[in-house]
Amino acid sequence: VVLIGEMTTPRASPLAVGSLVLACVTLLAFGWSGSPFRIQPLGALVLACVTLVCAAREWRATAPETAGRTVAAFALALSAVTLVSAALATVVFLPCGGRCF
Amino acid sequence: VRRPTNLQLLLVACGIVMAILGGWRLDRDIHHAALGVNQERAGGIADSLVMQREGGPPLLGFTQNGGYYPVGTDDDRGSYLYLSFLGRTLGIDDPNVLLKWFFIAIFIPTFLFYPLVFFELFGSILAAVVAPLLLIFEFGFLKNTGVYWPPAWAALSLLPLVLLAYKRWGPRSIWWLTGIMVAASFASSIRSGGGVPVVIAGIAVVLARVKPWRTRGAYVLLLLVAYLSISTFTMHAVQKQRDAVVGTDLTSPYPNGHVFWHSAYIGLGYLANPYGLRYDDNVAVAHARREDPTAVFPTKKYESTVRRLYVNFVLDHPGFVLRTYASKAAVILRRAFEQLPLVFVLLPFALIASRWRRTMLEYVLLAAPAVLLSSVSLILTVPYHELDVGWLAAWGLLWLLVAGWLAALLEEAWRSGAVRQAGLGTIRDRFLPILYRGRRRLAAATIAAAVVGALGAAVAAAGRPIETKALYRDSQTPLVPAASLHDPAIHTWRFDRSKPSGWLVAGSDVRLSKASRGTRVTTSRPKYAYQLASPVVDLPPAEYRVVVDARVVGGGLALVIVDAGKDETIVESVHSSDQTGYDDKRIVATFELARPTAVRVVLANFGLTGKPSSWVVHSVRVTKPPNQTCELRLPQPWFSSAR
Repeated sequence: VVLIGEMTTPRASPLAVGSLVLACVTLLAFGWSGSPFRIQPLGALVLACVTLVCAAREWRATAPETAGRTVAAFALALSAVTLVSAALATVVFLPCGGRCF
Repeated sequence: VRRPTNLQLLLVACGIVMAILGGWRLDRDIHHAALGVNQERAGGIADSLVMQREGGPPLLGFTQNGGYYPVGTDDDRGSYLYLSFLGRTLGIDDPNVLLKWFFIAIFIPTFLFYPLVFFELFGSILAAVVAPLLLIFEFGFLKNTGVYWPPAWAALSLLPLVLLAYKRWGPRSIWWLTGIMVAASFASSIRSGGGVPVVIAGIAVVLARVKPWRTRGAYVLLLLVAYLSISTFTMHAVQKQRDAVVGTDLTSPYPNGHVFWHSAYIGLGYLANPYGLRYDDNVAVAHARREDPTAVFPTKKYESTVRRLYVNFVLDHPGFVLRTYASKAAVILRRAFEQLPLVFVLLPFALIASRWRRTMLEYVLLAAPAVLLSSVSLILTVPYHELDVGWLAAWGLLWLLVAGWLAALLEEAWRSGAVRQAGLGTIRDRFLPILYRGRRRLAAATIAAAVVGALGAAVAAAGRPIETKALYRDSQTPLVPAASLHDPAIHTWRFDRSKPSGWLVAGSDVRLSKASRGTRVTTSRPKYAYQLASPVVDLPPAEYRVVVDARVVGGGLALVIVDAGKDETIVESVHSSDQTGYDDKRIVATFELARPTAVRVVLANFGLTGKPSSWVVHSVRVTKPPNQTCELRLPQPWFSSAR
């Protein structure tokens, strides 16, 4: 993750790039039919929360109009989208209870 | 964070009033929300609800032998998912209640934010008040549309927000747009493609407002991911999770959403044709089976087979296909023109002569994908009522924009003092320049409005007979050869000179006259209005057939069998003058009674044009298999003019 961060945007922090990549991977593994592996809704929800918190922290920590801020903003947006998707998928299984998770 | 101004607070208060008003209005007007849901869809939602109540996962139903099956495999999964979840969570079993309040809950926020959004779009308090009022009182076509309303919701609720993002673009607008795309994804999860116009408009906003290209590309990618979030990712994840619970792959054999090629293929049968095509699922299923016996509806293989059939047919019969699509285009244009005629007349003024023409042009261009895509959907399938709600809503949005523009101009004129001073000279000098810019532009707009109005009227005239014929053809019941009807009659009513004794005539508008054989009936005008009703017949439990020897000369006839005790329809059989073979075939309604029932035979007007229909009726017989008995009851004072 650090390597990717350094290769793409040197000014973006590894945590921001890591959040972006993890949010993207989570979303695809959670709901893309072509994904080689699958993350369950509950797992995706937890990962989305983690990436959201990390991205929000980085977003607040970086100055506006910088590459780091942009990457953090993207990570934040993608994490929020993943969070909404995973939350919806989790909530609809709640009536089913423990046997569905 | 900026503190809201007093005006914004006032607009929020106005929105709360509109939300209460809108909710009250919808609650008052929606009575049978489930009417807009077909039987398969209603069954799937009910089955999923039962499964969840038994502790099972969503998108699954019980089969009759206690097994399970995946619901909505040929459909968009959203409605099955949300409605069964809400039903289970809120303890609501009645699909009417569920659908109605789901619809109301979705539209309440729209009423709530409309004043604020339209104020921001036009800078006019009058526009902020007029737009939600129009939405509440003039958009009756939205009601009772089952689960077909998401494209309409996307057009009316989300597109104005996209317009707002365009008008007030700032560094954080991309967040706003991303949220709107997630909402568009929700719409598409219920009705495929429902949110696509919103995505296109959102991308257009990014392309217009963002620089450089690298940032544009990243933003567009973000919007696309957000759009796929619920409709694709969540829906797929839920299905895979369900599969994991039951231990069977119930997802991969089926398409991800609504069967597209199936609908497009049977949509080719909108006009009468010699190719055996009709808008009937069974037609596509039979043709696909003929092409590939292993193609089972609604699997991916089936879709692939039907796509091949569709492409081959289009290549083989391009003229017929073009004529069919042109006919459907005329039908939907007619409906938009009849529903919202002022848009067609006023839009040219807003786009050509107005001082705000550039802004209006931008708004209309952003709303245009909704008009175009909803028309494509109807032209490819069928332009039936309820299905056209997205199309009408797209035009409705244009109407709201035009109304907002007019309201803003009037408010500006009022503020300028021209109207208050009320002098003719003052109005000419100060009010008219607010309305338009340049006499030439005004003349051009007038000509454009006249041309559009004339074209609209011509298309409306051309579309009506096409629609009527298609509706008759798709809804009418096949006639049954008289030679095959051997069951003994338990009662026969002959219409030799006039109506038989005991039959009731529904009102003075119904005219009976003697025909060469039988009685000629000229009906009243209202669609589905009852015309003639038999005496009540008490029937024990059994299977029955009502056989009518009649000819529909003009318009249509509905044979309705009514449970007289409950005043409910048991079965109906509908026919039109387009059908042939009335000489040696009969109008037949077959029904089965599980308990003793008082039944009435009713002949109703199946006139789709609002004109009287004309029939010649010879006889009506109630028949049933031998060795069963029944008794007749004397006529009772009962009358119903419409259902």
